[in-house]
Order: sequence, then C-alpha cells, then structure tokens
Amino acid sequence: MAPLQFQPISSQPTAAFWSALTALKLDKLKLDDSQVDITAWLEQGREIRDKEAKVEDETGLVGVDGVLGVGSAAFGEEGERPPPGSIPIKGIFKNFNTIEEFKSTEHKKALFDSVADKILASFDTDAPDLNPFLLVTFADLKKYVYHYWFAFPALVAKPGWEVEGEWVETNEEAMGEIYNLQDTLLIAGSSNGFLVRGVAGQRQVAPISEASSFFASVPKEERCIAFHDPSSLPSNPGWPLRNILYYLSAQHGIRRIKVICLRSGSASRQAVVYQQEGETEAKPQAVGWERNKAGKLGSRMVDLGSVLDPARLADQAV
Amino acid sequence: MLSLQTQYWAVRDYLSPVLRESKFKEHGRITPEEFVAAGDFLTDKFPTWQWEKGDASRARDFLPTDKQYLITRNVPCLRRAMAVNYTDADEDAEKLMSFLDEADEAPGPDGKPRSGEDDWVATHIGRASQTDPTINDIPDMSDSPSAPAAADPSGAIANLRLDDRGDEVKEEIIPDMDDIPDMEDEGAGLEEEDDAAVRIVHPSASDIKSTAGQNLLQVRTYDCFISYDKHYQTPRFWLFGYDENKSPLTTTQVFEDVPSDHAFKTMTMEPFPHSGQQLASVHPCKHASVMKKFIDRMDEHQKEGSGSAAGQPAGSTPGKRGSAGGRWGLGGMVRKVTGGSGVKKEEGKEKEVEAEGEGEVRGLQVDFYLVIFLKFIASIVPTIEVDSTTATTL
Repeated sequence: MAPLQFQPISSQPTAAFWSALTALKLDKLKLDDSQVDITAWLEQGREIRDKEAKVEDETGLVGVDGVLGVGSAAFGEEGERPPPGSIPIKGIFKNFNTIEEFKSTEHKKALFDSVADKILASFDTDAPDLNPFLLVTFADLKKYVYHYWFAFPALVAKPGWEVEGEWVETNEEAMGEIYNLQDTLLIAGSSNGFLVRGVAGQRQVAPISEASSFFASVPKEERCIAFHDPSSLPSNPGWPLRNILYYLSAQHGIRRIKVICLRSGSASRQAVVYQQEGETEAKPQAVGWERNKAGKLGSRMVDLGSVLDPARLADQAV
Repeated sequence: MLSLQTQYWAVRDYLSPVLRESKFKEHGRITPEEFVAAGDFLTDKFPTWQWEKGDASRARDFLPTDKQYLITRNVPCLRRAMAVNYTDADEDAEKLMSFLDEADEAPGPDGKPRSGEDDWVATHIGRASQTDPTINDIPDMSDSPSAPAAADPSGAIANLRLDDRGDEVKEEIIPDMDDIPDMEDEGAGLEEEDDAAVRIVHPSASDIKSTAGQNLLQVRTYDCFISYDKHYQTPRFWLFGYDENKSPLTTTQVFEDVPSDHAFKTMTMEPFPHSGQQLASVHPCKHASVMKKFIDRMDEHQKEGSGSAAGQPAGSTPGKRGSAGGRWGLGGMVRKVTGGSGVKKEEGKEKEVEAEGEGEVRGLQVDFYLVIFLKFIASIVPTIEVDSTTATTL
C-alpha cells in the first residue's frame, strides 16, 4: 500500500497580471499594504501527443499539468477571461512596500497561518472554503521587476492517506456522466470537489459539506469524491485533493473513499484511498509554500523589463 | 531605430482605411467583419480559442468591444526547434510544399525549396538541424536581464567562465544583487518537511543536451494571440511563452522555438496592439499572398471533386496526427469541424465521406479562414502545437 502523494500546484501569472498589479498599486493601494481579495483560475491536467516521440516509447503521451493562472481580472476589474475548462479559485493577496518586509519570515508566516485558520474555521459552514491560496509580492515598479511567492496551504493529515491498488483510467462514459452532473451542481467557487454515489447511469452528486447525510446509506465501496484535478501525473492526484480528504476525515469521519481525478480528455484517473484510524489533532500542521526553480522554498522573481519597459526595447532591436 | 519603425507602423496603421469589401478569395485579405465571423467559427468549434476584450483604452473601434482578439493559453511546446530533426522524408513538410506549389516540390541543390519569390519558406524541408552545437553552449549575455558585464569588468570575467553547467547559474544572476537580502534561507522557519508532496524536478537545459538525456523533454507553454492587422487586412499571430517553471521566456528563449529561417526575419518582437506588451509576432506582410495560395488550392480541390480532395497520400500515416489525408484537404476539415465521424476512417471509406462533405459546403467559406491560418502558422513554428484543429478535444 503506497502512501498517497500529491502533485503541488504551479502558479503562472500572465504578463497582463503584472500590469494590473502595477495599476492597482499606483492608483488604488498606493502605500496601503492591507490584504486584498484576488481571484485566479485553475486549469485541468491534460495529456498531449508527442509527435517526435521515439519509437520505443509506445504511448507518446506527455502530461502537462494545469497551472494556477492569475490574469488582469485578478482584482475584480474587467480583464482576461479564464481559459475554458478551468475553475475560479479565490485567494488573499498582499503587496509589501519594501523588500525587507517581503523577505521577513514573520510576516509571511502570520499570513499563511491566518489562511490555514480560515480553512479550518470554514469546516463548520455549509460551504467550506478548502483551497484558498495566498500571494505575497514586492513590486519594483521602476524596473518592472516583481518578486512574488504563492502559497497553497494544505493541512497535513496524520496518519497520512494511502492508495489501495493502482490508479486506473476513468472510462469516458463515466466521465461524461460526472461532468454533466457537475454542471447541475454549480458549486459557486467555494470548492472544487463534490461527492458522487450510485452505479453507472444512475449516479448522484452532492456538495462535500453534505457528506454525512449523502453517504449515510451508501456502502463504503460506492462512496466517491470527484474533483477538478490540475495534476497530469498518472499516479498522483493534484494538491487540492489534500484538503478535501482532510475535511472528509476530520468533519465527517470518512477514512476510505474512491477518488476520481477530473482531468481533460483521457487523462482522468481513479483509485481508492484510505487512512488508518488515528487520533485527529486539534490543530493540524499546514504546508504549501510554492517551491522555486531550484526546488527550494523561496520566492520567485519576474523581470518584465523586456516586455514592458520602453527604454529597454530599443536594445533588443537587431 | 526599432521604435522609429514601430511608430511609423503605428501612423500607417492609423491612416489605413478599414477594409469594407470582401476580398478574401481575390487576394487573401479579410474585412474586420470576416475576421469576427472566422473567429466565431474557431471559438465555437475549437473552444481552446476564445475572444478577449483586451485593454479598453486600446480597443479598435472597427471590431466589437468584446471581440478584439483571440487567445489560447498554455499551448505546449515539447522541444526546441533546434533539437527537432526534420528530414526530407518528413511527410507533413512534403505535403505543405506540394500544397504551396507543385513546381516547387523538388528541393533545390541546397536542400531549400526552389520557390518563387512570393512563396513561403516551409521551414522543415531538408533543413539540416546539425547546427554547430557549440553555439548553444555560449551563455548569451543579452539574455540575462540588464547584463552587468558591461558595467563591471570582474562580472564580465566571471560570466565568461560560465561553461555548460552555467545554465542554471546564469538564470540565478539577477539584477541588483545588493538590493536583495540573502536569498538562501528564505524558506527557513516557514514550514516543516512534507512527505506527501511530489517533488518536481525538471530536467535542465544541460541535462537535455547530454546524450543520455535526449529523450527528456523541456516542456514550455505559450499563450498565443491572433489580432486583426488593419494595415495588412489579415490576422496576425503573437506569442508569449513560459518555461517549465512557469517563468516568462526572454526574447532569446522564444526565438529558440522559431526555426532559424524565420527568427528575427518574419518573426520579430513588436508591441501587441491590445496591451502594449512586447510579444513575438509573425510579421503579416506575406500573410495575404500565402493565404490566397492556400485558399486557391483548397477551392481547386473542392472543385475537382472527391478524387484528390483529401490531399495526395491519403491515410498514409494513420493515427499519427488525426487523419493525415484530410490534413490539407478542405473535405477533411469540413468533416472534422462539422463533427463528422470521418476522422479515423480507413482509406477505402475516405471517398464516400468525401462526397458527403462535398454536399455540405460549396466553395470555401470565409469562416474557415482562421482554421487555415493556424495551419499556416503551424508551419512557421512547428514545435508549438498551435494547430489544435487537428486534435480532437473533449
């Protein structure tokens, strides 16, 4: 029985997002560094065919993870539309006025903990907010250089979840049915997962907050959770599942469930996961700062001088 | 120099009248209305494409406010153009050439097509990909932002010593080192070790260059835009790329994905009209004539009837990329976009389905313009999978 590991989310701000951030900072926030609500989108994982694949690699399919994108509409203004097949994700944004503040561990830790606490606090509500994200930035506006760091807080389950057997492809018929049912649910941005029960052709769905009642008379083998999955790895679901499982276990005592990873096209996977009985901690540990290029915990930097700075553009002319 | 030229283009664009009459069959140009119609068709049939409003202050008044340009996000690019080994046997390439003009089909002695002056260079015909590998290994100074080399001689020496392994190091050399407090232990104290997270380790550029790593992929993604160019009265194609770590690509990196025949020639960096950002763009000066050739050829096939309509070697490489036979023939395209089941038909059945397609559409509709345009763009940037129209999506 293999431990269940989750594929972390990758963030990808568009160039237009940094323009929107610049406008927000100059026109609205100015020196105000309080928290602001922000909206991003989360794509699905997908598989694409590699035309140049070597012969010995028979499938020729390459997984491409869905990213968490933030665009020019992130702060509620009109702007870029999320790409088709993605879902909106809400988060907290904070811009620091100095690089020292941005680098300070205390500030970030406090922010991160507040978001994790918010997730826990929402467990008792009808619409648990399981996957909010956090974005901290420092913008060097004169140089078109932006330092940023995303965090996707995840509650650490103890004991950890494990996978029973193998991850298998979900057949297309089931996917079709589940997608149609998902449309009828229309859970407005609160969470990206939902419950599924019943046999093929007669499936029913419900928001995850109703797990206790919805699964009351359902045998353990037929309990399913489906979620919008940004991962494209064949045997690793995406990060958002982590808090969903934590919630189901902590709030509804569900320790065994079949997971359906909703991905684009034929990339969807399913498997049964379970958690050993154990004491639930009163206050779980939370993790989820995004790793940088080097695979370390650290902020990222984007230099858009080449894209936005008029003075630098002349240099590039050949 | 560039900015002067750009401003000249802006003025010329301002002075150009908006095309009103339909001209697409005569010389491959389209009106804004036709652009919108073709865009509607594209977004309807291939929902990875969608309309965008863009920056309201830069909106073009001859286009509807909510249909200013088209976008598709995160188009994968698995390999660099340099690394892809195109050969004369590349069937897709042969097809493209024969499509342009049969007389040009046989490559000239230099391996380049013997084409007339207004022909498009199909980049992967007989292109020797054995560009001297040492060229790749020299760290490109203009690449690293605000190269400190010029100002600081010791920095210059340090940079000169960078060898192959320097790729990663170079990425980390960022401007204004003094401004930034110690980058090292940023994560310290933030969180504990986490066993339940998958560690992503992307192969570095040097891993990929080593012989053992040639199967490894360096997956970049591109946001692709199609705007309407008022002066040339054609669509115009733009690119904005991200590396595998989702950081924006520099100009130099973007041009690694453009075959050398086009980089800095037909493909240049220019301000995107709807946001002002500098993006890589295919210059539209030849678009109209190339599109006219494409359209003429398709119309011809249409008229000739079922026989050769699906393009010459029908079904020669089934499953390689949808139906190879239908790739250039309008019949094939009609089948695909109208939801016909002909995509995976065998060769024998090809003809009868062809006849059905024939009944549906007489002559080429302007709706198809952007579908054809994407096939044309795909020939300029062969490693970027812009042409989603051949793949079936859910």
